[in-house]
Amino acid sequence: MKQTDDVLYSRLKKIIEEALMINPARIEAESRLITDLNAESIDLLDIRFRIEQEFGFKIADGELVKQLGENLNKQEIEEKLTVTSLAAYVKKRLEEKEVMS
Amino acid sequence: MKNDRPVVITGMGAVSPFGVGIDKFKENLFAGKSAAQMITAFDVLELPTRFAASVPLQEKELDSIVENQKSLKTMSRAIKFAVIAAQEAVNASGLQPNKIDPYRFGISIGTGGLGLWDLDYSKQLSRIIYDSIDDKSGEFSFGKVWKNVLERVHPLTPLKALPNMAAANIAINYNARGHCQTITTACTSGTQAVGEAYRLIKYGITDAMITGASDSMVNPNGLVAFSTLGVMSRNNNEYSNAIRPFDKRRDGFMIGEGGAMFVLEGLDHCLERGAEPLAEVIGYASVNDAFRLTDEPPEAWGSIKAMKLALEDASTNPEQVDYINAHGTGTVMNDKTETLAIKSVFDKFAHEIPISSTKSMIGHLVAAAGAVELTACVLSLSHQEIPPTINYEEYDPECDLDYVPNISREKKLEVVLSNSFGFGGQNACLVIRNVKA
Repeated sequence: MKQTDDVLYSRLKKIIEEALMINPARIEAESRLITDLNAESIDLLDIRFRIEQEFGFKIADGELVKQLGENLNKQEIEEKLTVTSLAAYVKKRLEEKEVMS
Repeated sequence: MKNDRPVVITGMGAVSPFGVGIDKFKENLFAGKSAAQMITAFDVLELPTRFAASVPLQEKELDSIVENQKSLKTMSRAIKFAVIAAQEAVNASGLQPNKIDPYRFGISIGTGGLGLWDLDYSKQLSRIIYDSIDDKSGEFSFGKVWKNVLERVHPLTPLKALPNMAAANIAINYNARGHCQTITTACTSGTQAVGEAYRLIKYGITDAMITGASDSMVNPNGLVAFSTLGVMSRNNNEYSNAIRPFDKRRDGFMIGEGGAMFVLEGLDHCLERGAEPLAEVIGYASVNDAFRLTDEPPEAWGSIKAMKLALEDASTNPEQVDYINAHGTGTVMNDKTETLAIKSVFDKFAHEIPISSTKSMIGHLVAAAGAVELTACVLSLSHQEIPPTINYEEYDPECDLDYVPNISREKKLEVVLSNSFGFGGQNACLVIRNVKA
């Protein structure tokens, strides 16, 4: 069954809320995970694991960052890693999964 | 190096088999209650010992008390005990971490059992092993276990197993940037952690320390480990009065879990901020038997030396000690050797000094034992009352001292000694003094 963007977004938001233990009201579409929501490196591992479990696909090492663009520096990663960019990645992976099946 | 700075305890907190908080501990301790329960959290039918002194809170209840909720995902059960006890200790001390020099504020924590032994992970790992049958051959595949671990186990789980994570969490919570250490010396961890914190303040390296210990071995791994070593009581039928330190019928200890934390400060630092000390730490020593891994030398040279050095450090004569909180595990060997050691150190005064084993009530908290027992010592000073050795009925000629049998005793108390002895030949003793005399 195809996920609507809204459903996908709310599932992802729940993951971020639980991983970071923050009030869901703080999570907006353009929130930057590291800069705005204070995610530290272990939180990103946590979020990656939760996405894998929730959506049923594996995420290779470094893939979350790589999909943001090639050869990004630390500052660019912090800027681009938002709830929206993460949702776009999950959507893309789910679509690929659907094609494969 | 100058070493005459008085060191005081200004706050304490506990998570014990009686529940969360010093008050719960105090109430049951002086009432001589047993915290023993049959284990129901996991299947123990096939194990020789089926009872323990667990902290009577579900994981969710514990979680709700931890102030830093985000850190919960990296906390083992023992780390939660440490963090919750530290919360109570810091609150009680009135210390405001933002008002002190963070680099002169340190942490010293005793830890033991690994977080990977916690029940939830043990269950998950067992399931993974069960599922690791090769599809083609139908045989168990060891290699498949690790693949399944990588796929199913939360990536932050290994952090629960690092011994220094309790110290790290507490340092973060209170911005304590000074000397930070983790002591893992089996059953003496807690006593040594507090003793080393005392030394750091005494020698002027830090002004304040959060110190104590926690442990949680009431899980399948912990129970099996101590069962194979044959040191636990197997008296399942009489579990609530099975633990009988110094009694002739004693047959081993009961495993317990929990933790206790203290705020230690230089007296000058305490008075400067207008705080009131609970007790003064006046002596500490730690030595090793260098004998055998789990046997104590029959002559008890390590425990004798530790007590003597601690009293020397405290500038205290044996006859000045008003109460000894014994290691008192309830094993045949410990209680006999400890009695011998006390008689050697205290000589003609040995029969006059009340001795009790609070392990008779709360069990053996392993790495946390010395810390939780030190809270009993501080409480005994503030209440001028000695907690009893419960379940004591039958006299053993090899244990012929005053063990404060079954009922707590009121007594004028000035100086208290706490003993901890552990596997690996560890011996550590602390001496504390009443400040409200």
